Amino acid sequence: MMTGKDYLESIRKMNMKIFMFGDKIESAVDNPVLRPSLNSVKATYELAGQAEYEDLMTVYSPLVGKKINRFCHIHQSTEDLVKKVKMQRLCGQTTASCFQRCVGLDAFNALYSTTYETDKKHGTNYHQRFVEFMKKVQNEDLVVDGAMTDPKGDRGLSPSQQADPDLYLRVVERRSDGIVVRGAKAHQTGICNSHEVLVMPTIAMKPEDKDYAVSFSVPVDTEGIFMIIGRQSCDTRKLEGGKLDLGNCEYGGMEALVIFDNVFVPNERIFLDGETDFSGMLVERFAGYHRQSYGGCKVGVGDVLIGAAALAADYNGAAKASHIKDKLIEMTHLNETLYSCGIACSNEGSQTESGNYLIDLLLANVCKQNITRFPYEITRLAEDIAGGLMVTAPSEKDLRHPKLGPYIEKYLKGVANVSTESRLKVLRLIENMTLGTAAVGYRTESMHGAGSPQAQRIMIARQSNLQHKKGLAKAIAKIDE
Amino acid sequence: MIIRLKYCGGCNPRYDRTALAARLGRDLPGARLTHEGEGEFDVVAVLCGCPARCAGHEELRGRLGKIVLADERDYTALLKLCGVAE
Repeated sequence: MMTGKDYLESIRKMNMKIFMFGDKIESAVDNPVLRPSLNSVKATYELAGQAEYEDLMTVYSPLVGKKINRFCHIHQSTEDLVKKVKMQRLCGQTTASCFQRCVGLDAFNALYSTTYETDKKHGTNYHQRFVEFMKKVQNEDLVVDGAMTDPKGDRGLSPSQQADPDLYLRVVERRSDGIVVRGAKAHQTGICNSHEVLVMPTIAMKPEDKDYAVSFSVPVDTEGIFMIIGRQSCDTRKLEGGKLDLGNCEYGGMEALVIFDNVFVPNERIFLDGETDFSGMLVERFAGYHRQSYGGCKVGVGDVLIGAAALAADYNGAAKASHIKDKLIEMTHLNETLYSCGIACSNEGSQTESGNYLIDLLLANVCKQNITRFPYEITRLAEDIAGGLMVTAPSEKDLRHPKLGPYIEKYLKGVANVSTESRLKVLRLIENMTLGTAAVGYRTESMHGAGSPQAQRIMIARQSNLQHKKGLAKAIAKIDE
Repeated sequence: MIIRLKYCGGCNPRYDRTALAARLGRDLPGARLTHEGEGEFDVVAVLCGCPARCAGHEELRGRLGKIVLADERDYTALLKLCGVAE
């Protein structure tokens, strides 16, 4: 397995094409806006090397016959599914942000089973190709960006009906040695911190969408790929040189629009090409795993936010107020409910035809549906407890100013035994998570990541077995017709 | 005496597992605490952070015994296994 330092150097060696604020970024590793997101991924390597976390962070892989980082694992049991959620909670607690490596893990497991079943029906050899790819991922301890979301253009039209045919990523040329693809993937979490990009279709498809039913993996610095970094609220604070105003100066997340401008994919890296009848299965399984993931990662971030709110209450001198205690209880109740959903869909998982394990899809969708709501309420309660100062406090430069600083020290003091600076630090952390750079991951990603709320409701409706429930009611009510 | 310590992954520990291990080191200055290796040791202490006790430890055996802790109060039993009364 790689160490954090090994990982950092491996990314530094890549020749990615990254654009931000209209400029090409020469080194994402050393860029102050992007570096915190790299640190979050680096933490997944560092935790794996620590004795007190290795039981969650590492696992034996039968694929390569050795211990690997769990982020590269093909789940072998429901215990693996449970430990995945626990690992994600730990990483969320450690970074208080999106650590970006789950999307690849979820893509691995979705493709492992889908390629097997595609081969069984169509006589293709995608599964063996994918197994060989996974051996490389596990042996080299790679970060892989699972890329699903196409720009989608007119949502009322299918991929092949769009005015611009590139609004869903597609095959534009088939050659004897591979394919050439063109299109884009939006909202790509962690792409500039990844070694490979593993592309999947974004929706179920019909036969006429054949060129859009494509899955493959290539290195992120492959010719033709470039990324345009997404803005985050308060992102340029990272260019000011201070730490306090960042709230979380070490860790963060990142997303980008990734363009595939006529990218060649060799045959051995193609895992789906034209089998439209398996596009829906791949999407459904990937979404299911990723909806499970949120029952771990968001919970870990929530743990930090609850802790920050409790500290703010301590520093404000309000910790003993009964309504504050009750709000902290409510935050904990909401957060542990999310965790319960993540654990439940894992425990109720089952084996696929390929041998790996899949979560219970109904419970995973219930998990994510709650995620679209509860972090917003946890955030509201954190802001309630923190008080208005979290958005009106002067800057770090003012605090350090020889004339202004003493006034800030004096008038923004809370309880006597805690410094004004510590009080401001915890308020900035809450600001960061609720409306700053980390709010991208904790709030809007909770809403739309792994599918927007309506996508889960469709899955819940499909799996709710309403006929069975009607039968139960009829039996109790003695209805015979 | 060699005591093999094995931690759970620590996703939501109810007590400080590393602090407990440090305390064991202080209470048993003659013992060697290790986090590495499989097979047999004098004592195996699996430090789980909560009652789920999810750490895997099948590959570890204790000549004097193996104990899975899930609470700070289990520390007394660990000392007893090591032949020391707290």
